[in-house]
Formats: sequence, C-alpha cells, structure tokens
Amino acid sequence: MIEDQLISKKDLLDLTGISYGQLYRWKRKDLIPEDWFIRKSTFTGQETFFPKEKILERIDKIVNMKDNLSLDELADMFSPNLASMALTKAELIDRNIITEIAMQLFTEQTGDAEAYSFEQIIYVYALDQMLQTGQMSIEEGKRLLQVLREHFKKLQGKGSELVMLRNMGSTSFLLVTSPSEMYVDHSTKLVAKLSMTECVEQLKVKLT
Amino acid sequence: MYEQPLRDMNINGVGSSSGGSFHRITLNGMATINGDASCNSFRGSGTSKVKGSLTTPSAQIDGTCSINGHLRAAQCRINGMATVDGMLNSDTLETQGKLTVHRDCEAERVTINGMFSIDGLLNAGTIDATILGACRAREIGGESITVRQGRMNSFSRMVTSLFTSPYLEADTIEGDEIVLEYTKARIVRGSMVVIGPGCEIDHVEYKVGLDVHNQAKVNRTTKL
Repeated sequence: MIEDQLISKKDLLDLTGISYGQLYRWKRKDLIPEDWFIRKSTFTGQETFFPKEKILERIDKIVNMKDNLSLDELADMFSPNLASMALTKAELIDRNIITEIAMQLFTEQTGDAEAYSFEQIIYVYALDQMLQTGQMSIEEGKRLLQVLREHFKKLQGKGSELVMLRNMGSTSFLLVTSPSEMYVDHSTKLVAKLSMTECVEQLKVKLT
Repeated sequence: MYEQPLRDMNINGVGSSSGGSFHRITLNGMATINGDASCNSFRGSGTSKVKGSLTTPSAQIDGTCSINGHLRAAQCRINGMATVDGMLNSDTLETQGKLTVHRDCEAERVTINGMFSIDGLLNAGTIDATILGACRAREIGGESITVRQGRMNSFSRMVTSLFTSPYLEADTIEGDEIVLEYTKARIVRGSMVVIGPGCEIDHVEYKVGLDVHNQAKVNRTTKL
C-alpha cells in the first residue's frame, strides 16, 4: 500500500493559517486522532508529521463547522463510536442517504423494521458505497452484510476498514482495524477498500 | 448508569482493595488498590498506590501516590508526589510538589508549583508553571505557556544550591503566547515569545513578537 504523503507541523500551520494553540486544543478534544501525529527524526531533531490529505481535509471540516457546532459535538462526529439515533426506511431513501437496492438487500436478510438504528444504517451505507463502486455484485453484497453484522461490533470504537479480495473468481471480505498494512499474493486481487471510520463520519454528517 | 447505589471505600492504616466503582474513595495511611477504580471523588493521603487506572471527576492527592495505569480526573489536585505511568487527562490540574507522568499529560488548565517530569507531551490550554527544581518535558504545547522560577525560602535555597538552581529542560515548546525563564530547549515556536533570564534556547521561531532578556542565550531566531 502506498504510504500517505506527510506534511510537517510547521508547513501545516502555514498552509491552513491555524495557530499552535488551536492545533493542541483540537488534539486535546480528540478532533485529531492520536495516530496522525507521526514523530520522525529530521536533521534538526525530532519533528511531528501528519498524513497530508487526511489532516488537511479534517482541518478544513473543523474550520468550516466550528461556528455551528461546539468542539465536543465535533468530537462526537469524528469519533468512530456510533451515534444513537433511529430513522425509518422511507426517511433514509428520501434523504438520499441510502439507495433502494441496498435497503432491499438489507431487509431481505433482517426482515422489515419500523425504524433502523445508526448501527444498522452504517451497514447498509457501507453496502451502498461498495455497490456504487461497481466492483461488487448483489450476491457478494449479501456476504458483505453478513461480515458486518457479525463482526463490526467487535471493532467498535476503533478505526476499521473493509477490504474486498478476489482470488480466481472467489471473493472474500476482511474487516480489519486501521491503520494496518496488508499485502496479498499475486493471484489475489485487492478489489476495493472502504474505510468504515470514514463511513461513520460521512453518515453522521448526512444525518445531522 | 448504575443500578445499585455506589458505596464508599475507606482505608485507614494499611489495607488494600481490588478496585471497582465507588462513590467516594478515601485512603489514609498505606493503601493499595489492585486494579482499576472509578469514583465520584478520590482522596489519597499518605502513601497510596493504584495498580490500574483511576477515573474520577475529582481527585486530591496528599502525600505520595503512584498510579500504574491512566489517571483521568476532571479536577485534580496534587500536594506531594504523584507518579502516573500512563496518561494523565484532566480539566484543571494543580500540583504542589512533584508530578511524574510517563506518557502524555493533557488538561485545559495546568498550574504547577514545584517539579515535574513528563516523558511525553504536556498539552494544555493554559500552563502556568513555577519551577522549584529540575523539570523535564519532551514536548510542551498549548495556547498560553508561562514558566517562571519560583521564589525559594532559605532552606530550599540551601538544598538546591548544593546541586543546581531550578530549570526546565524540554525538546520542543509550542504555543501562542510563551513566557519562559530558566529554560533549556531545542526549539521554541510561538506567535508572542518572551525569553527571560537563564534561558538557553537553540532556535526560536515567532510570528508576532520576540523579546529576549540580556541574560538569555538564544542561538538562532526566525520570524515567520
């Protein structure tokens, strides 16, 4: 896997115009995850680096939303913990959060329900995202749901990723904690990778 | 959250407990908690030991206390000596005496009077440190950072003069407003920086203003 491009703390502050105080405050409030702070030795000594794309996107979000939401609310949004809320099927489809096909697939497995919890919605949302990549068939989607329903809870509170592998036409799904590195042999193809942490985050934005 | 009302833990003299959830934990004398503990208020006098993490909205430590796990205490007062092997998470942290943290220390407001040694990052909104001995932190970050040498009475002056005068040693100090005295650091970065007497700083980066005392040594300064 390609290593993310890194940005030094100094360049980051230059680029975004935030101050040291703000950066440290956001870190204290858990708006910026601990594992994004990468310490590396440079010729001037130890310096802190960040994964460039992720940190810029996160800071952009914080800066844009901090006028409307308090820092604690923002922290809730970025945390991989699931929010507590429930929505009906019609609401989910009307608000374009989830497509009908994905919803149908889900209800086939679990049966119809009056309202869906955040936890259930995240499964369907992930399924939807994977279907939209065009890499996954409906049949495989069912297996994906199975993996999520059985195992996602065990990784709760941690960052996680969903990985789809295909080897000679047979598909496997892996649910792994992130950040993690993985390597596969030549005959196996890494078809798609989906960050569940990002899904949770996107979904929280969409639902609020 | 809890179905049963929480009970109090009281240890007077020598005793131990295996931890758990309590309303109030009061330790007097030599007490050991063998495990994680959470409570609504914690008070440890004498020599107390927690062989796990302690979570409480209010903690007061008088005497010696060592915590093998993390210490999470919104209000935390330390009079004496405290050692935390894990992280220290607090809102208002006040120490008189010596604080040792083997990992990061985070709080909104930190007031230190005495000595401290932090192996990780000291991250706080406001840091107000009056140092009375050798202090150490790998990194210090926050909005407002003030480090001053404390006034010593004749006894402490006698004791410390045998060794060295109080100073702070840090690798990196970063903040918006920084006021330092008797500090040795590799790099100091901030917008308003005041370098007071007795400082030895290799490199200062500042945005708005810099003031260097004539008894301070600064190798290099950069205005951003």
